[in-house]
Amino acid sequence: MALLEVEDLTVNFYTEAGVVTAVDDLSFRIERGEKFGVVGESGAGKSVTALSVMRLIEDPGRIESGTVRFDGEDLMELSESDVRDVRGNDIAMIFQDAGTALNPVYTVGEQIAEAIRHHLDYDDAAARDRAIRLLDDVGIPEPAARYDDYPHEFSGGMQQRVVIAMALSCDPDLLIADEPTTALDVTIEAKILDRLERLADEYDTAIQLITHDLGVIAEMCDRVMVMYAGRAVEKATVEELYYDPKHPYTVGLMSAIPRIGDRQDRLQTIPGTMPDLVEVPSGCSFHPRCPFAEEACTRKRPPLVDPATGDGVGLSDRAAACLAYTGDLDGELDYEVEVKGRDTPPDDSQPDPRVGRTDSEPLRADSDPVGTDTDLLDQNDDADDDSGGRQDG
Amino acid sequence: MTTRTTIREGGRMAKTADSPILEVENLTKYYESGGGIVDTLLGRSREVKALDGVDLALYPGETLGIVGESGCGKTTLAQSLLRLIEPTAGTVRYKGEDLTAASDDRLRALRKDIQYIFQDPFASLNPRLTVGDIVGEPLDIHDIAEGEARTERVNDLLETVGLNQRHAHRYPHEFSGGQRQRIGIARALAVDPEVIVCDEPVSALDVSVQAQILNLLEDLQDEFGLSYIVIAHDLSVVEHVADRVGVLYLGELAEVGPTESVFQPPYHPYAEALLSAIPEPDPGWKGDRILLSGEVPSPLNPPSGCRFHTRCPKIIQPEGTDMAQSEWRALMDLKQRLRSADSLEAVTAVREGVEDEDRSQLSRSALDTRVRAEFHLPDPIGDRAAEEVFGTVIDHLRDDAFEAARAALNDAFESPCERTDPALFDVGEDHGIACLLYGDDHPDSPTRTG
Repeated sequence: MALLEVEDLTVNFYTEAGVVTAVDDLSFRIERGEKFGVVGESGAGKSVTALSVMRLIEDPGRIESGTVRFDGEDLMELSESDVRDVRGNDIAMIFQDAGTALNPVYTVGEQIAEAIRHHLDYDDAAARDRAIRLLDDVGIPEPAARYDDYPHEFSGGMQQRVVIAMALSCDPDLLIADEPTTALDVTIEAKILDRLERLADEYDTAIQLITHDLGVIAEMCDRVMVMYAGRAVEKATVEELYYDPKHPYTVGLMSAIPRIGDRQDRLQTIPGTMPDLVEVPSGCSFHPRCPFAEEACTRKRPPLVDPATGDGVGLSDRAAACLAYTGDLDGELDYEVEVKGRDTPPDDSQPDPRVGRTDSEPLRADSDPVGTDTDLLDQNDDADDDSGGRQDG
Repeated sequence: MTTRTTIREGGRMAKTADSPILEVENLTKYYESGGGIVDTLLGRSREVKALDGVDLALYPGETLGIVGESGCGKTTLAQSLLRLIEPTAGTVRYKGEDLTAASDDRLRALRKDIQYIFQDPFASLNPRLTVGDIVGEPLDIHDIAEGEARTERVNDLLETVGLNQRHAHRYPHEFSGGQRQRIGIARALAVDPEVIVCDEPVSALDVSVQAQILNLLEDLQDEFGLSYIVIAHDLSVVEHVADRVGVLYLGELAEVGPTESVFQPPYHPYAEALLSAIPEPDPGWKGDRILLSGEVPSPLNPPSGCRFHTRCPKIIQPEGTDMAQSEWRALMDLKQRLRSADSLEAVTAVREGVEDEDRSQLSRSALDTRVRAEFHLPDPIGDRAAEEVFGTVIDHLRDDAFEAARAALNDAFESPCERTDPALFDVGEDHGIACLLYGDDHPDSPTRTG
């Protein structure tokens, strides 16, 4: 049995500007001990998905439909107090901003110990001992001495370690990490990811890692879901996704990141910006930005299918949502994935995929935003920003 | 290593022939700390050395990237260049003229030539002005254009950055993050500057939008012959845009040189660690990460000698010592930890299942084991002499004699890096590294490359 199964999840926010469908008919599955990445830009619905799993969606948001089965149990059917038991105990969450996740008036040690006492019924001394042990595990030097420090006495990286310690304190089965290292320096990020990965293996904890950073996903995850405007557009293992992306949006994302050792002068870009979720474009929501879009894309919404056969797929299978795979397009996706060595002597033999386009009209940023951005702006950019901020803060 | 020699278009490589457009010498900024008036009265205020004697040169038409972790002084550097904050010492010469000595009027005039793009496109635009007025404001201030000409210029500028003249009547909140950054760029371009200082221009933006803005900056450089200083914590961004790169650590330059040289050996150990830490967007990549111990130390009391020595994996061993580098690093960690410690909790590993124990009751051998565990020291340490010193230190700790333990460590283990602040050694054309490993006295100093 899968650890987490989300099926047909739809979440709406009822804003003044209209109904924002932040998550639209989303399904995915996370296995026990698996590291599952969720990637996409602001407003893609990544964070709302995570909050829905924890049943933490608040007004004006509402989970409209769908099931979230954790260990076979439908979380949507549970009473509020039962859900509270699941939170922290079975599913823990790490937020981007560690500073706000910690209570400034309690010592860091006490905050961890409190969770241990509450969920695991430890006595004071045993909880303190376990908390110190956890602080040591996440790499806080002098854990016993720092147990009595307050959050403001810790740096940002240290605070995030404390939050990780707190999340791991009750040995959860699933850890949802929402941009856990985005606010940190690369040196600290590397250490925290390294630590998180090792602890997850040690405690056999599954991780749902939400990030916009494709580098972080490549490093940590087994499988990935790419989201765009509230929907999954591609699901694959990391190797499949990075070496053989099937959705034009994934291809766009891959080619937009500057890579070390890559001497091209210009970056490939995806023209325009994420659409306003109040008024998602018809058909395939990516079509206004897609270099391969045809007339059919404006009418027909592409289902998630197996890109090899065009047939429907199960929750964990490789899938892409593009009409190219259902036989509705006249042309074909004409891009090429190129793997080149990372140019980092002395060891320059390692592969580094570089996604290049071979179509005659490459994606260009300099001219496109005028047209595309203007259109989006005219619809209602204001609402876009507001809802985006709420969902992906 | 094969594609490295590609020369970029636009002839921006040949710069040594020109004289720099912006020349920074010994730029220093100390902030007063210690906060309260009481501290000041008692003479207890201390200085935060945010920027300590930085020398840089920016050549016409080039992009100079500045990287480093938070707290290394990147933004202080950027802002003191334009005297948005007053530097404590040093000079900034723009085409030979010293900005730090310029009068307020002169400075305002000079700011026509040097512009600034801020990190946060949400905070740097006045929400009560229309985009037209935001972009037009510098035109008014510097008496560049009015009336019809002003409108025309604003429209031109908006189009240059990929916006539209209809946008001139809208307010900043109506725009997305990428568009707001475009507005900020249009405002900077309004006065037709020579130099633009970009402080984290894309860090608040999504990947796809980030690429649009980076391309735009590149296009504008080609079109108007701009020179950029780009501050960023993201090394892949800097590698992409910069012709030359400066690596800052705790207010000092650790390495400076052409981008291609900085991004390949010889490395400053700090630059090497920064590079290795970048998450590689490739699941098949199996590079080794260098995980630095600790975090950036406080600039209130920066480490002696080389400021990076407290975290440096390659910290130099004194003459006559030849032990495994990891053991040497571990001993240095122990020494640094003891410097501020006065309880055994600080230097011993925790053990599971033991409740809040009193560690002064540990037996000598238990103490020995626990200290080794905390610092990942083998038993015994490979170097015989070091093992003996370690034994003495444990004896002192057992007797609660922290001062004696410190003295024993200090006597036995002192790295040249703790004593000598390394100069910027020349390791190649226009390429300097501030690390004793590359100094003349270092026996294994790597072969110089021309």
